[in-house]
Amino acid sequence: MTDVTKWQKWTHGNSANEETNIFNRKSMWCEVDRVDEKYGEFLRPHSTPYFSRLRPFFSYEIKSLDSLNQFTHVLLRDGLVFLLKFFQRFPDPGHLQTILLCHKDLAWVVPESWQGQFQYYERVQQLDSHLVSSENGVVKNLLILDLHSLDEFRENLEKKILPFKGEKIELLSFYNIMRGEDIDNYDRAEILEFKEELSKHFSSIENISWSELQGGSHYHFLNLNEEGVFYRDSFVSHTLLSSGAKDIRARKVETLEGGDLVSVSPYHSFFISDKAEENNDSKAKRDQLFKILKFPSGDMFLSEPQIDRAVEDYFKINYYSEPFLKLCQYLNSLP
Amino acid sequence: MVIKKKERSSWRSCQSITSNLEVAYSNLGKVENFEVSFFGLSESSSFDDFHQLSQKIQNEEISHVAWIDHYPHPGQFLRYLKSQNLTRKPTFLFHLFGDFVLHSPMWKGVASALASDFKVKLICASYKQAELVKSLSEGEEGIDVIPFPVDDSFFHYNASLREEGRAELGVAPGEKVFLYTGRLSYQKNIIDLIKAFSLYLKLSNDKARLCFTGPMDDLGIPYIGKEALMGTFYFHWQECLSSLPPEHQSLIHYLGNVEQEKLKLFYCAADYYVSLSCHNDEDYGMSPAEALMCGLPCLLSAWGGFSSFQKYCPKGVRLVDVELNDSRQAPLLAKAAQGFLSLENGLKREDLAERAKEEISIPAVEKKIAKLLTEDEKYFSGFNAKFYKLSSQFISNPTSPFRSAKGGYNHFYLELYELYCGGLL
Repeated sequence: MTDVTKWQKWTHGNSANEETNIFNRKSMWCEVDRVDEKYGEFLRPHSTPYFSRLRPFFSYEIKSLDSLNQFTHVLLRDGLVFLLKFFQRFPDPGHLQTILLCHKDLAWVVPESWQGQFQYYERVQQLDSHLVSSENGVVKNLLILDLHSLDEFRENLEKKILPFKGEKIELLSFYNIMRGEDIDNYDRAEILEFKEELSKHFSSIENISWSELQGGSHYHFLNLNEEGVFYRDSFVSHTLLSSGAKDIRARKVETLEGGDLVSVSPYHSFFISDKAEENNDSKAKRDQLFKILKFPSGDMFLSEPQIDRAVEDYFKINYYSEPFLKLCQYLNSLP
Repeated sequence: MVIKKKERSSWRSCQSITSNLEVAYSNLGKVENFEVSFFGLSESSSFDDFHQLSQKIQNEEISHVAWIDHYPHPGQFLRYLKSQNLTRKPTFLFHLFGDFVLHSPMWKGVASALASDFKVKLICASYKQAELVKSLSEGEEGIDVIPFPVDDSFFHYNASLREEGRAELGVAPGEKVFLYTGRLSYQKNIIDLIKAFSLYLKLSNDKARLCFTGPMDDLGIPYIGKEALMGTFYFHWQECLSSLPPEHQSLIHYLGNVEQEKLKLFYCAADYYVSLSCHNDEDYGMSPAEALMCGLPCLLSAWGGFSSFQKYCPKGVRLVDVELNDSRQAPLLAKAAQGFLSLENGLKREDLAERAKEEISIPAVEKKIAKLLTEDEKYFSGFNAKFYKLSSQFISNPTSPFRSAKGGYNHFYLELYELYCGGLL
């Protein structure tokens, strides 16, 4: 059982607030460099920073483990690519005391050497007790997807969008090009073809832009790429949840046991547990990664480029290689 | 002709303001025998749209053009119209919103058009806003006050809604309900309001609760370059609540961002409306206006547009003095708590609502507009040196136009906004 008092102590009170204040002043301990810019920009607006007592950020921003030691805890918004890369960069915690939080669905990625330093989160809808329920029964279904990551959800698309199948939806899509790679010849026609394919699954699609989106409790949303390889905690989702919108995949807080809740808005919280649920699928994925592929020392990983954060040419900044990305997409697609 | 934005404003209060003004002008056509037509411009209007509009003005021999929205800014259209060398120029009526100061560079861009090329009236929503605009102008003429109207067919007092609302909120007999509606933001002094309420509870033996409804936002203080990450306000809200005595924490209720029907229900259910906002854009206050239309007595900071409400409804509005200095603009805590204590009981809701209706309902505003159109031949004479200094603050330092070297408000801001302090009576 997670010690409830421990999370209250870590996230509330003067000492915790002071740490959170320092955490949010990144220029003091984690100055932004070109790696941060390139990947942060590529994932925008999902990667936009937001305030939380849990101190959320991406592991690619970490320059050294020592810099983390001033915090009791931090939360990694990472998807598989960045999390795996983190463990490759830092095979063990060394003298690190900080507790790191990663998404519960990525618990199978955490090596044994790190397991003492990791706990697991998921977002849940948890309504403040005085909130008045909306009597307006009109629900808007909102599908969010990154068109630059079509590969991630093209397979099994129908299964992924099942909750909205046949319904009228609003579509919030993003199309980002990695800085430094904008001269590459992207097949932009593929996106139009995909949109046509997508339209067959719904009764109607209305395109909506990020600047138009006002959120609200009448929205039920599905952020498809939060199951992808880049991120598990999106600013877009956070914004919607904070306005009362519902993440259709979020579990009900009443069904959760053995953890602690930290609220981040009147409408949603993070559920933290020190052990992730393990099942046959996660064991199989774990075995695949550590026993078969022999992460981090297996052949698949030895050819990964060294990260040089001093490189100025964005085209030459590669936090991960293309084969590494493909491998992560493969692992992520396993049941 | 009435010009408004084609698309809905992203600001909820502006959505109501524009639609109510639209109804008021539309009724001028039915009731006051004016011929009224409408034209929608979008923020991305092209010269083609301007050409269409100017052709309509010419061909239909429009005598007056009323601009009832805060976007798009009329500057581009005015410059276009000036270039057309019209034989008959209409008189312009610009309804000013809280972002007048923010948009001073845009107004500067058409300063000569406003002063000499066209007959112009600047219509302020409140007396304090008019004082502010006059302090930036060569003369006082052509600057008038017409409050933003409230739809009285929707917002009015209803005793059965009061019962229903109090039942829904679980209000105990004899319990006072203080209500804040609008944005919950650093800009609205919400934390000060909570602390003042807590102090009031300590000083009185009243059974009371403070309810909030509206969206939470993390807009910082842009005028001094203070930004906040999303989620910061909620953090400070939680910290404030947890600093209160436990028995007070349970008396502060966030009801969420409710729709209009629920809002009306809560206005009727509550006993007082409260706001200690000292936001620089508080030119009027749609929330207290709606509250007064529902006969709800108000406790407001003596700031900006709020003071006009005391002029309209002297018995129903109590003002609290504010402190304005380089680091703070808010009522003093003790004075605010005293304000809570001094609120009168026993005011008849229907009487207060009726009084408000005489000043700020759509028909009342309609009459004010008609009077302005027919009786008043005084026009705006141009901006003064202080205005040009103001606009240069925004041009040279758009991200923190009023920031002092120490990081607070600079002297120019204090000089400009000291006009917003205090009541009118």
